[in-house]
Amino acid sequence: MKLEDWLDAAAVSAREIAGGTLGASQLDWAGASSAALPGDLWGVYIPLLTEGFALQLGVLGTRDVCEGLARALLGDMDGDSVSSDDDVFDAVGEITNLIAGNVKVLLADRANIRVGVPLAMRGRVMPLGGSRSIHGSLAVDQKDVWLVMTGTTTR
Amino acid sequence: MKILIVDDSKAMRMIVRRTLRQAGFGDHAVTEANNGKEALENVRQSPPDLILSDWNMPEMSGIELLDSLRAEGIGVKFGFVTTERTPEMRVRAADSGAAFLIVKPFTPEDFKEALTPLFG
Repeated sequence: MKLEDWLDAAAVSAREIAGGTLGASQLDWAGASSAALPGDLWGVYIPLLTEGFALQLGVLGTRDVCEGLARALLGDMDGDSVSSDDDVFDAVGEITNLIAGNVKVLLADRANIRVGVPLAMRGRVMPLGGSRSIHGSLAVDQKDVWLVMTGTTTR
Repeated sequence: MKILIVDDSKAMRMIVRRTLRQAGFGDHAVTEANNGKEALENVRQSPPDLILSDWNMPEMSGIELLDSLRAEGIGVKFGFVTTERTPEMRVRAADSGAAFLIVKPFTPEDFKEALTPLFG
């Protein structure tokens, strides 16, 4: 399976989560992009481990976009539920986890995937040693959420 | 009744609490743990009536928590609230003694359906 197939599955999954759980009304997936990722992104990577691949799914956005995602997940429960950077990372981590869970189901007939524990990041992740990374932008109510699939084959 | 929510995400613990209220279980006492290891320590000190646990967590996963509880002879009611939903995971959960597996994202109806048989 190509890295592009994994990114496509992540986009399908992210659309489902954004349109359902997060209540977004407008979703626009532009496909894989050859443009460089912006350098000021926040977000979360989660490992997708399977025979033949060691991948990381990233869900990234600016600080404001990530906070918006967090508030959408929590439904602004008490207005104070997203009060710190840690709260933002925590909620985006859960969103990433939901997307990864959907990817696992979407690709169940092609790969036996284990989902790992999420890792928060600010800035830029640079793959090394033969890893590849591809990304695309999902516009969620006109806000750019970047989906990244990075990793390598293990055989 | 006392319910222990086990999830490494604060956001998800808040959502589970809210969903319990929305599903009509708001009268129960709810406590929280960040992972399986913390939950196991809590249960040893003060056993709850029901554990709602995530599957993938650092320190100790949900399935490791369930296996540890059963190995210690603790038969507390246990359900998973997780993104894990493949048939293999469901079988693994049931074989270890889980009463149910609620898939994230979930609705209050999902909670009602899973918890009502346990609480009557």
